[in-house]
Amino acid sequence: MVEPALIKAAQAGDREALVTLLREIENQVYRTAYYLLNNEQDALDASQDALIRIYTKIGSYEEKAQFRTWVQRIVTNICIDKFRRKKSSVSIEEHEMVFEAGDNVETEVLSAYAAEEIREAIGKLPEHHRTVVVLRYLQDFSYNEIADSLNLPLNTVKSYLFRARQQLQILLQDYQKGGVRG
Amino acid sequence: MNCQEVMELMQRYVDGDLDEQETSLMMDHTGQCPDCAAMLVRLQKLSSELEQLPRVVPKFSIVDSIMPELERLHIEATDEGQETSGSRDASPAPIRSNRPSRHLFGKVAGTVAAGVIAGLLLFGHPDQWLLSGSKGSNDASAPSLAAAPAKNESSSLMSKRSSELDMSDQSGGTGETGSASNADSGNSIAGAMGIAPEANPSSVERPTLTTGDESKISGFTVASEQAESPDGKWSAVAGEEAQTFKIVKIEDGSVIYSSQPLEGTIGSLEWNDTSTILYYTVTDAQGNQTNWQFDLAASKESKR
Repeated sequence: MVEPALIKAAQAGDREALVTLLREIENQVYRTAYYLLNNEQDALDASQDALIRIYTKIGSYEEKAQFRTWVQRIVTNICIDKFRRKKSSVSIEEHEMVFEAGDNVETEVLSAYAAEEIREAIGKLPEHHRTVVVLRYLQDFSYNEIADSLNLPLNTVKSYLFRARQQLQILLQDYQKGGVRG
Repeated sequence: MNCQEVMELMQRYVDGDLDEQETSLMMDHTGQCPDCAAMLVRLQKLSSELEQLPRVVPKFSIVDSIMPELERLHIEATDEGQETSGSRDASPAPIRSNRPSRHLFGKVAGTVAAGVIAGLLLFGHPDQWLLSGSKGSNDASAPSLAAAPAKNESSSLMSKRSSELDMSDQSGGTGETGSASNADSGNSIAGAMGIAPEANPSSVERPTLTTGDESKISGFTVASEQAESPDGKWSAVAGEEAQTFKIVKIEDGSVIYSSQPLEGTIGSLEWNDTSTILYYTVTDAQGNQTNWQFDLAASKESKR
């Protein structure tokens, strides 16, 4: 957790404090970007953008919100923008994305990690469901914290999360039935 | 209580959101309904797998990589403050403003210096630019460096330290596939990073394509010489020129073990199922490969 005193100092114009603060949050920013974008390069780009935005906007952070939900709001917004832009520029449909994942069967077979299957399955979820799952499991956020980060009503957060888990569960069952992993 | 309602309870149950009464309601139902009982098992399994997803970390410091940009923003904000001499707390200027070149000479000098660094890296690694299709580690950091001096006036006040940091980032990302022609600059950068500079240049000539393939296989972290333990706690990373390796605790990024430089190139990093032993190979300059292992608990490297 980032110390409130550090945030205060950064907001007051202490540049060193601000850089220290960015260092403290860079891993959590990257982790969200990585699981939302499912690609290391895109995640690095998005994390850079997010940290620069935090650097310039630190003055607009208000204490009534939790700092980490504020940070996650910035990074998820950037990722969702990126995700949409990418999608529209290549204009691939959802089902084709599933196909694209299938192209990597070779590398998939070689990978021993069940986690990789899950990561891919997360990548197939609609963007809001994906975001909710990432905040819940990669940031350990509560329903309320997710709602604050995404500016969504609590009930919507729950229904996204519940539906996401149902979808994941079905996707992962398909994997096992498909026997691609042997 | 029907199955649909129980589904909601089960979902909240895995999030630890049920009170005692709701829990017993759910349990009563699943005790009689095998479908819901099976669903509950699946949900719990899924949830615990999601909890165990690896806490991936960036392969270089992202803050270091944006330092020049932050430096520039800082100077712009300061200039702004002086020019408008009223609003001290003005928020920093927009990132891509076209500022008049008041410190033209200094800015030109800064740009030239950054350009030279970019050029060195560019031409030192020609192979990587051609093979960038693999989404490997090499192309990760490079474009931002090349773009920085081009799209904006680099600041004349950019401190020497931050440009050094920037360079070591680049080498962190690109070093492992470095070509022989880059051996000199690679080593000096390695020196700056505190990694044994006496790297044997011949070991650098590993075929780039191979490492590209490895990077696909290794999955999450994509860096070619990196392996995460199955429990998600540790990451083994082969260092500069792949003659040393480190074990990093993923949770907080701390290095818990750094190997001595080995007589050859480290590869095939792989953990055992219980995340207690790291297996790897060492290939010497003659291409002879030996199998090694590192015992995490004993902090001991040995041949196997």
